[in-house]
Amino acid sequence: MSRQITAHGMSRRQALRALAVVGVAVAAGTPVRVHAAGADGVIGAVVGGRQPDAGRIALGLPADPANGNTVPVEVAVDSPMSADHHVTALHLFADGNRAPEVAVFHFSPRAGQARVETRVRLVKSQDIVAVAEFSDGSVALTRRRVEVSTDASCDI
Amino acid sequence: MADPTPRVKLPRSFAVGEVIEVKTMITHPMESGRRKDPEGNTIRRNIIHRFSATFNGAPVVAADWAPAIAANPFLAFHLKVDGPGELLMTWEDDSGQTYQTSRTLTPA
Repeated sequence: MSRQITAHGMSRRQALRALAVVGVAVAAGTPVRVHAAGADGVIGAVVGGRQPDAGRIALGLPADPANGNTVPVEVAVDSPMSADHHVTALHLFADGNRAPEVAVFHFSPRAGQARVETRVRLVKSQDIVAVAEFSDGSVALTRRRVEVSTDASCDI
Repeated sequence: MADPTPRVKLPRSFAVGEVIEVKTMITHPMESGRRKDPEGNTIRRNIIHRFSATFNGAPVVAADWAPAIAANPFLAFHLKVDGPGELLMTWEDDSGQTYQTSRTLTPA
């Protein structure tokens, strides 16, 4: 474990703090997935070392501070959605939630458009990150900040 | 809780080959598993963790959801209507219950 933490460039103090967080999660006795590298590690696992394209995802978020219990999120990926060229999966993350995973959408070309709208819970102001995977093996990533006036009433 | 009830909104009319937006919502508490009852006991997680939509039996869109999806989960997705048929939507929660609704699509 310590080797993994130092590989991510954490100082000794950060590493101890991370271990303390793990301790709290275990002590709480709830089934919590603990990610050694946080949201960046979870997102990195999806990107998988590929170089993400920055321009292919439009992320629609409220312009005004939102109620964290239900924040509208609209994601549209630029793709012809043909049999040969389509979006296969769209991952949504909230990098400030304790568990950063929000949703994974899976598409077939029958969708016609890789575009979804949903409503998410955010415990605080943070970045929403969308990662799209394409049928040709490429990936795209977009990140946008959303301000929350009232935090989600439950710890997500 | 009251039985989860799905709702679906479709465009009033559409043509063959048109990409339409399908708006869906299901009443469900999306209990996160992180809340406690007044006695301090953790309330068991029960979320809709899977949604799927098929048209004439073929997959269109599916979704895996985490507790960060808000209560009464709303999802708008798209479908290219290549002819008449049945759009079937299924929601599945942690208690093992599945909820289904379908709409017959008749393009103009």
